Amino acid sequence: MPTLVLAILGLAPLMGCALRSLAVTGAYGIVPAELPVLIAPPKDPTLLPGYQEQPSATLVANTPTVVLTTQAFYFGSLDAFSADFANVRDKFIIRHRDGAPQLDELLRQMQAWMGRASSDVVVLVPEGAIPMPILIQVMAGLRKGSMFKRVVLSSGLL
Amino acid sequence: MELRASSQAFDRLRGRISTPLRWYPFPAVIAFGLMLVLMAHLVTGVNARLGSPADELVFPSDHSPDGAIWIALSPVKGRIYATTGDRRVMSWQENVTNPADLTAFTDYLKERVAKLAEREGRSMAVQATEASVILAVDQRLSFVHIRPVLYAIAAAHISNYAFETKQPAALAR
Repeated sequence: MPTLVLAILGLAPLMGCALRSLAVTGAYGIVPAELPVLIAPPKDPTLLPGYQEQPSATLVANTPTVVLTTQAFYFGSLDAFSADFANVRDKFIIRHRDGAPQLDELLRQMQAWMGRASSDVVVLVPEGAIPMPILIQVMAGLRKGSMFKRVVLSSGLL
Repeated sequence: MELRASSQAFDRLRGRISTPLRWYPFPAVIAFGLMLVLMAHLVTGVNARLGSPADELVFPSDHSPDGAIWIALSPVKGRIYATTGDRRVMSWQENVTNPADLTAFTDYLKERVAKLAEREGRSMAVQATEASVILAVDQRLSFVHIRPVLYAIAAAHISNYAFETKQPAALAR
């Protein structure tokens, strides 16, 4: 009888681990993105005097922008794809090779274009037909290098 | 001779039947205990990804934080189904053009944010990753399907979101 009880007690954690392995899913990771917000500090008298929200980054006319279509990458400044859209001299194209986006070439040419200027933020404007796996990999690739830390997905252009 | 053998067999059978079996409850107890253990693993701290309908991209990426609002998006017969971490399901047409079609989804996000704000206000403690959304997107979807979801996230005043990927087997170890 005591042997039986001890055997059951020894079996219980073993079976518990086995059952836990059935309940645990695989390992997951994330590719983060952000939505830009407007700075609107609240008027709260309970806040510490002199406290004010400060942006960690700001989208300006020179913010690097990448447009991803099914045919090519286009890159330039944010102004080039908005106010100055008709100008063809401030935008650059990198065509896909056999349908595959040339992300390394994009990063290399953007590095050369930006020169000494730096920006933590890049605006990515994908075409609607871009499959999500491609888009996620492009976002991860843009963040992987030392150039950009934050990706802002945008729309309305394509 | 045969009568004596059968009589002896009958006596042995009667002896076995009349002898109490002290071990008989234990198989049922073991099975019941194992079911309790399995239920405990499944119910407490249940992983929302169990049974997720989305077939996610396998791609090495940053570590996934705890506590975010997790939502799986998958296409089924011309509709997009959003499955949340607390097992609520909402759906809309794939080619949705009217933002009102995502009202239920937007209201769910607003409700989660409101509960989070109330809890954090009471506890005077904030965890930044809780006010973010993790989207487990099925590989069959395109950006045009995700765009309304991003508008809904913005309408719920959430500025941080992320796309979830499954870690390759070599990195998962």
